[in-house]
Amino acid sequence: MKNDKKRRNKMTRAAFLKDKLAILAAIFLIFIIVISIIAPLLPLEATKTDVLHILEVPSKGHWFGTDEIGRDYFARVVYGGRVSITVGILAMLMSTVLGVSIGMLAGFLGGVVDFTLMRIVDVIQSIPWLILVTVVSIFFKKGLLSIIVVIGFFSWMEIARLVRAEVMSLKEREYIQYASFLGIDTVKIILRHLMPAVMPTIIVSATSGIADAIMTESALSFLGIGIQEPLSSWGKLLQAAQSNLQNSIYMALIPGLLIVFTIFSFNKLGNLLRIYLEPSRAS
Amino acid sequence: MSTLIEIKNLSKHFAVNRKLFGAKKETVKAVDDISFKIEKGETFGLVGESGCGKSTLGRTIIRMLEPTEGQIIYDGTDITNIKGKELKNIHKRMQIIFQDPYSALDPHMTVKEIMSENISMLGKKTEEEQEEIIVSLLNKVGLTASDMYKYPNEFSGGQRQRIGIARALAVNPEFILCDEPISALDVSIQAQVVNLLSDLQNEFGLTYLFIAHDLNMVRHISDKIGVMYLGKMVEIGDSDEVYFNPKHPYTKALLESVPGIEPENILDLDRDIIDGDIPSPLDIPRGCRFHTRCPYATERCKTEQPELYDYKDNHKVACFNCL
Amino acid sequence: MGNLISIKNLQVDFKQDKDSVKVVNGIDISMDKGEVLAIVGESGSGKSVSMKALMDILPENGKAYTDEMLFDGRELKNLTTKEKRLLRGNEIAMIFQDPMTALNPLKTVGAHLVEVIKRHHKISTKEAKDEAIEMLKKVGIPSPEKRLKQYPHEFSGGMRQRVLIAMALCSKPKLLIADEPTTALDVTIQAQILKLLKSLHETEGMDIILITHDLGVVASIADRIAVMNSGEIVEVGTKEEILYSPKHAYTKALLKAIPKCQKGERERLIQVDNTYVELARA
Repeated sequence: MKNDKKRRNKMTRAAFLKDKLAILAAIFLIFIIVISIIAPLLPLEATKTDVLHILEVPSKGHWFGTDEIGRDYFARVVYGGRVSITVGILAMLMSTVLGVSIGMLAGFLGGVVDFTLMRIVDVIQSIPWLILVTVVSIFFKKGLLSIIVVIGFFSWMEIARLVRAEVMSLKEREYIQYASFLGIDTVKIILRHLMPAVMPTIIVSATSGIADAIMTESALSFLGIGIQEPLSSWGKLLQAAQSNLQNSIYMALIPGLLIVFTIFSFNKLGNLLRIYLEPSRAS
Repeated sequence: MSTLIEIKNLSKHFAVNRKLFGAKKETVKAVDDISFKIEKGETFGLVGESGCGKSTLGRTIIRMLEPTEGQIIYDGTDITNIKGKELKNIHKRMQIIFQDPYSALDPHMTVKEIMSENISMLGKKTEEEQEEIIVSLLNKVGLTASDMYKYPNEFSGGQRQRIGIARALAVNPEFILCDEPISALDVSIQAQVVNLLSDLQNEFGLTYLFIAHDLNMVRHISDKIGVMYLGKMVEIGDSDEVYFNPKHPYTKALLESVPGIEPENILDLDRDIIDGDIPSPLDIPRGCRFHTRCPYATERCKTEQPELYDYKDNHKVACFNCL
Repeated sequence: MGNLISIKNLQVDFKQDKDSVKVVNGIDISMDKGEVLAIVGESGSGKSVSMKALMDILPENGKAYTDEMLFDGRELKNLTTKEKRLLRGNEIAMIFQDPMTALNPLKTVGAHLVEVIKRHHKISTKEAKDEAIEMLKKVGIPSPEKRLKQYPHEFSGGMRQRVLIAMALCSKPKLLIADEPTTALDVTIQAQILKLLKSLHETEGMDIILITHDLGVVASIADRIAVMNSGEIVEVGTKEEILYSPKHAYTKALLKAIPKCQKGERERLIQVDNTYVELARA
């Protein structure tokens, strides 16, 4: 095991160092996350309007210029990132918890429970996703929490399927059969024996889950059913930038590129995790 | 000697969907109407080829699988239908050792964690008490105290099998089902594990149900032997009696196919060798299940199923031609 | 009778990360025509790897060195890749423990055989099919016409091994290397396959190298035995020499680890102290 860990560390480090993009992705993500966390400590005001200076081009005072009601666009982008990343992480957490619990139960208990849960998954998955979220978000009170809940609640199916499939094959392993033979509680078997074994799958799918959630949030906000004023997110900024596309194209480019880079970076790191956690399957 | 386990007309059927949209479910009679006894302190060897149901029978006896019909009487109590706490208590007295030492141990747990799980079944113990028990068990099976902190993949196949044995011993069982414990091991390691098992039997007065397909090894370790073919017990008796005086044509064929190394036991390939394949458990032949391969099969064998009858004391055979 | 194989000082290295591990440590193997040679050893002894080196089918990270590797008088080291491939197809054939890995699950057994037959003889598909039926008959598969149209999964383990042997026979090879051909099979089926191999050796004049861990199997079919342990051949001799008057301590120990099938008191098995092998595999 010790050797194994060493070897995996080595492999992952090698893959990481060979992949210049991965290094960039890691630096980028650390940077974005640190900025998001310390944003309130920075001299930035994202909501202060200044009608005298609307739609200014980038300058020393306003690095990214100002928006149509004179708010500092740099501050808007920083706070927008804060919201986007928060939504990404929390929605991922929610969908992972839901997906893992449902997948575990379905896979481990099997029979009627499995059948019922999997049909629910089928039904939810068969409805065009964006339409579903749109309809649901209309009924919800608009706000940060509801957007997280909506995204989290409609994105757990994939991970549930993955976990279920893995648990079903693990269930045939003799050490799991032996644990039930001994009379160990189902909950304990799941936590002690099944969880560690499905952890790689969960972690890998969670990293890409963050990326997916950020993407969804952006799409919803862009369509106007996501984050509402005065809060902003990158998707929201993108939507707002539409009306000024002709004279200030950078207002759309900045949040757009940030979304692309963030999603790319999370996916890239997900791949590295895969190399670490499943060295035999990667390559 | 008194009886530890008595099996009465035990059957285990599995439902299988053979066709994709087949509404009709078929049943595989993996174990079909088997009765026998295991005495305290003895080793009962169960042999047969793949698909004969020997593993299923073993696992049904220890209630790892639910019996379909029949009765299992363990030390005087009927355990066929017990559940919950009662079953848990019985499972402390019977243990299992698996064939594949790779899939039998949780790869994410250290030896200590694996064994603590069993020890905790006997009630709360402090960390020190647990470690003390683990060390003494590891020493019993030829491992050292420092092995406690290692993970299963740091051990070889033979060593893992030892860990499996130590784990089984952790609950002080009376009975251990050895489900092909040596089939996956090298010859030299097989000998080590078999010797270990017989030492432990002498020390703790254990009773074994030893499942294997290596007839020589089964005969070496067992007091009694049962031979299974397609879910049925075809011959049962004292180990040497079955081995040196086989009556059922299948047992004979099985023994004749075993390649030995002594001049008189070398497998003679110029002689006639039993023909044909083992039928699929889904298509069990009517009548005597062995009649499709049996050189002595008569018309009666094709229609009527022979029951086990006493050939002599402690030797039963299910064959019309031995009557 | 001439010499079929003569290998001198064969070494095989496996690369692992940057280290290389010696799996076969300078062994000599020679075999006469008309012989059945058995290479016996436990897992990790290098018995399988050394034969793969002869076939030139080592995995990518493996590398073989020899002073001499003669097959039927020809030096294999001097052959081009293409010549080696022809040799593998025509003169040396190999069968494995798990026949399923060597068969394509999407192709019928007939298609497998026809492909191999057409590679060796320029004949029509129709004629190849007749030939395939002949082959299946030869290896003792009942109702071959029907079986030809079936897929590998419809065959039992023993029948699959027979198919593999039939495929190997198509090129009328001089040598068949059988790598644990009966290990995965039940004893009655094992006996059938061994009988088949022996009769093919006698009728088709095909020599056999049998790689196995089972001394009983060896006793039934081999003329000569080479015992391998930890990448070295510790003892070579006729069947009688090895089984009944072994010289090397490892051979002796291996024989004692097998339960005797004589009547009477059962002696305790003698344990082979082979910690080296145990550790190497850990």
